[in-house]
Amino acid sequence: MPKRIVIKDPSTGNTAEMEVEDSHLVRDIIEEAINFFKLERAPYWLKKGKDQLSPDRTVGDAGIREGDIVEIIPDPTGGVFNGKISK
Amino acid sequence: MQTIHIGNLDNDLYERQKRISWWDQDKISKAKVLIVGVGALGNEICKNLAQCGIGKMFIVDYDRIVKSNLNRCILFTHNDIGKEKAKVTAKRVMELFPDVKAEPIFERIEEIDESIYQNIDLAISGLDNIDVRLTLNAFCYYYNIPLVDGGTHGMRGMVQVVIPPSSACLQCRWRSLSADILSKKYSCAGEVMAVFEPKVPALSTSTSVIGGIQAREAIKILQNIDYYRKNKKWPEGIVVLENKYLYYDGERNIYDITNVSINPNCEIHKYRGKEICRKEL
Repeated sequence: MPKRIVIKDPSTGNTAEMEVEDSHLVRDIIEEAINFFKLERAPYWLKKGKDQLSPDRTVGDAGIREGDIVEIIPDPTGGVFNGKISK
Repeated sequence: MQTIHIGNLDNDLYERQKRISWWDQDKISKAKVLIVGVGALGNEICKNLAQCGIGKMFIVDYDRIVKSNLNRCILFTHNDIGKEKAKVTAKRVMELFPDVKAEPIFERIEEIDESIYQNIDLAISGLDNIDVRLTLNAFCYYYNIPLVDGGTHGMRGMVQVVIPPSSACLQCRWRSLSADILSKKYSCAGEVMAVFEPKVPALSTSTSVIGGIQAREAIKILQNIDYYRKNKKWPEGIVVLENKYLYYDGERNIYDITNVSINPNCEIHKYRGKEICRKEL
């Protein structure tokens, strides 16, 4: 059963609705949000309330519910993990 | 006639910090800390720890100083360009604070003598990439060494503390990202591809804030780790960023702390670190 959640980029205030399944992974949401908000390719994490959601957890295991607002937060590492890749 | 002095308050280098109620200068003066990476963050960390009178620093960095380092690295001068960061940092720390011993190690973290982990009380990373952080994280977990990690990106920054084995570690957060990096270094056909690594924005004010918080967390841990290990909790009034992630955003003046939990798929927690370090990283 799909759930509708709100994903928010707090640095701009932009929000979007996203339909997710319990079997989806948190990192899938991050990836979709990066693409949707056209964010810089860098590490991010998801915040729900006062908790950081583990990227390997499923939506169901992470306790994400219908109508939840989750925020996508940059993970400042002083470097880069996957810049543009070229041959 | 003899003059009576009521104490010599200004002759003790550490007199003001000793006024913190729980401060134990003896513990700090005996503490041995591994600092990995002495760029902008590492400079701040070394400066702060030296000012507190830390006993010994092992300073690891396999890089040399370039001109663009100088606007963020308080311990480097123009005359140091081209020199080893670790060596210059150690020399400058001991010049400024003769009580502090600093040993430079011009090696990659993967290659340093592992016996060092049996001779330190805490590690701090001032690194600029995830892979090396994960290596340090694995060694610290295996040897049961508290790790204070920090990072910056422009006006943003983060700090997380790992107290093995009870707290979430860096692998918990990045294990899937790390796999992504490794897989993306190779094409589907197995052909090695270059990874373009652009320079990231950096600002001295952000590194001052994050380096300051890292050093502060290190001091709190060094002073209170014995109590923590005995009682499985920190003393009343002391909150350490264990199982927590401090996020700092200087543009929006945000200083936010979120809870982090152990990733059930984390290899470090499953296999105790070092084996993973050897085989996977």
